[in-house]
Amino acid sequence: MPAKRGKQNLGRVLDFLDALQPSGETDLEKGLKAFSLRNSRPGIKIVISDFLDKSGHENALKWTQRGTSEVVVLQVLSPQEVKPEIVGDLALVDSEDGMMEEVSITGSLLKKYQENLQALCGGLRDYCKIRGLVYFFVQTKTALAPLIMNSLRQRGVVK
Amino acid sequence: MTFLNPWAFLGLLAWGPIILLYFLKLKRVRVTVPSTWLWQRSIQDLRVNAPFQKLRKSLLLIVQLLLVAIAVLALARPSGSPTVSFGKGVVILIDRSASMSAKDVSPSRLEKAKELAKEVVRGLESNDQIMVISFSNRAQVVEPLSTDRRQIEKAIDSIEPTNTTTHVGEALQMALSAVRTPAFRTSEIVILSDGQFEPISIQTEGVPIRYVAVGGKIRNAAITALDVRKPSGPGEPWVVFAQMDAFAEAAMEVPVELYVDGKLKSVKNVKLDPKAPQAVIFELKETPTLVDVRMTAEDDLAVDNRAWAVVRHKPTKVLLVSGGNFFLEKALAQAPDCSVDKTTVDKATPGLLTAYDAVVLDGDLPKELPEGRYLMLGAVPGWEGIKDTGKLEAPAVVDWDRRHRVTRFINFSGLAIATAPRLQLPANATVLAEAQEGPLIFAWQKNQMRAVVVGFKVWDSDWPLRLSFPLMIANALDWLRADDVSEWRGHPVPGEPLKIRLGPDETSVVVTASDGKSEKLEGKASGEVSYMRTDLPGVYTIKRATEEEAVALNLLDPNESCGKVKDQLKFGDEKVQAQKQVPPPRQEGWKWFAWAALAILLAEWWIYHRRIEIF
Repeated sequence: MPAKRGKQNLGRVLDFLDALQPSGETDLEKGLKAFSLRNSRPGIKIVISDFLDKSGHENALKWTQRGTSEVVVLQVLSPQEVKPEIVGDLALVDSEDGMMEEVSITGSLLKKYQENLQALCGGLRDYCKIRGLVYFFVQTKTALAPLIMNSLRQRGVVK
Repeated sequence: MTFLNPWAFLGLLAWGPIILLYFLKLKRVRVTVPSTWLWQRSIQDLRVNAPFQKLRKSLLLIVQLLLVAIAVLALARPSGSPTVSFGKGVVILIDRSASMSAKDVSPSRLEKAKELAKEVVRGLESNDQIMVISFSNRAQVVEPLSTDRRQIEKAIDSIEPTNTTTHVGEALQMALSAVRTPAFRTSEIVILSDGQFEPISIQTEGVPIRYVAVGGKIRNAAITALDVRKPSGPGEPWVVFAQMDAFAEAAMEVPVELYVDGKLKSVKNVKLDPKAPQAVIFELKETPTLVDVRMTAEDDLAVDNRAWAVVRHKPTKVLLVSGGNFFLEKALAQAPDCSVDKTTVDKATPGLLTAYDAVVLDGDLPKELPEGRYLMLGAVPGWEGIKDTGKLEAPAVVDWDRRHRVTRFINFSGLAIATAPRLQLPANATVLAEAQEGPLIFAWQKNQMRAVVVGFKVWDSDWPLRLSFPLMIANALDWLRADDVSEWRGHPVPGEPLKIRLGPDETSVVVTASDGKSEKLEGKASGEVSYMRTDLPGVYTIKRATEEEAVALNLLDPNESCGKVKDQLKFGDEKVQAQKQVPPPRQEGWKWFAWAALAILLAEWWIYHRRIEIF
């Protein structure tokens, strides 16, 4: 979707986002860099991602800080990722790159997973806080449009 | 801790297939997740901390391996070390003689011995060879050397009591020959008995012997001798002598019944003193054929509560070799079932002597004494080991054998003797009466030959005037003719073969035991046959072509009846102290391991359903 401006386009943007389906591989840093270079005018930038990126989020997010934009970071994770309900000897298939990882889910593995997830989310939240970025964590079961609007209003990003 | 079945550890080989199956069977379910990155990171973190994470991945595998290990441990029969270790070759001797039927220990001495024997078996190593021999008057191998514990215990259970006397020698020889082989690193003989058997001269040659004493304090009233005497003169009664003993701590009052030819004739209440045997005397007017004496009180041993006597009406042929002796002739005339002929010493040829069942030699001995039965008065034969070393002046009888068949019912106290020879006797002689200085009367026995020798001349004493004189003459003749297979069987005992001489035209006899079972025995005319199934006491009948003969088999053995438990046995020069208990069997721990295996199985089931929350 090409860049849109003005309040009248907000609804179209949100509809696009609702209809968006996951596909393909993602390189967060590459995407944000390209966007920031093309759109250097002031405005609100909302980054929606699970931030489960092997190369980390810091290099990617620094591109959003170019110019005087208000940056909103929305970390979206599925309930399966937040609290995996899987057990036993499994072959986990990465939905992005199709890579398979054989795991035997044990209590300690789940515990370590939770620790790593909290470290990831906590690290992202702290990064945003230090750099004045607005950070939201949402689960995919939440409808995205009302959430964004409500959250933006609460934060005073929009009126 | 030792293992009774170390071969079970081969079961650990089952680990291999389990691990193999684990890797082969593992079919992972594919699950699509938004990103595997966090999982990869978590796994790497865990691997850093846990070097054996690969194995820890499967708790179930570990549990399964543990289950096999525990099950193998259980099968290996772990056991604590016993307090006393038995050797590698072990022979268990179990006494099943008459005294072992005593019920002073519950349910009986034999049953208790069998239980203890099984405890011995359970206390041994699994590769120890065990032999079981039962013994009474003869030995029997119940189980040859074996390691099959179940079979050995079954063999022990099969041992039945007998009514016979005890001879351990044969059993001990068998046991020693079984374990005295280089095949055994160590060996041991375990004897379970009350110890009432003959002294043993066998040397054990270093084989350790354990004597487990079985028995308690017995309370037993027993008939220990039975005799029937014919009337001493016209109008006089037949007399039945029953000797009774109380083997108990306190006196016993028991009813004694007399049956003659199957009919109850008399009942007496007898008070028995445990210190000395007591004679119970019944008098009969009619001539008896079969006398049956019963003690009807309840006691610990039943086999000695009844005794039988068959009265023979066929006389014994007795030859008196004497220059003339009024008292002796009168005494012989009173002896039961005897026909007496008289001759002088110069006419006593060997041919004549062998024609009689018993020969009474008064004062002088013939030049030649063929094999036979002799009562010698005032004459000492020069047989091997018998020495006349001098003269005793006025010896007083200080002791006599009150249980010997020749001197029982006899009282020698106060007997006045002028002179007597000073005698030295061999081992096969039994002193019947003795003075302070040496033996006065003795019994001598070698093979089929028997003799009762009264060293002093009876007319040099007041003995012929005493009641004990004719009584002892009768007793002596009774003992002399005993076991004479040609005519008299004397007093055969249960368990010993009954020897029967066939007549000139006879090739078979039918023997009916006291339980009514009959057996036909065949042999050569004028030959000898043996009837072996004599375990039961009672009256046996021998049916011949022309006549029927009855024989009474009685235990009448104070050694079996006394019920004393010896606290020490002697084997040659070695003394073995009794032990009342068998060392406790090994506490096998396999049950605990089996329970642990079950618990692990349940844990596995639980883990299978929960999978997590363990680590």
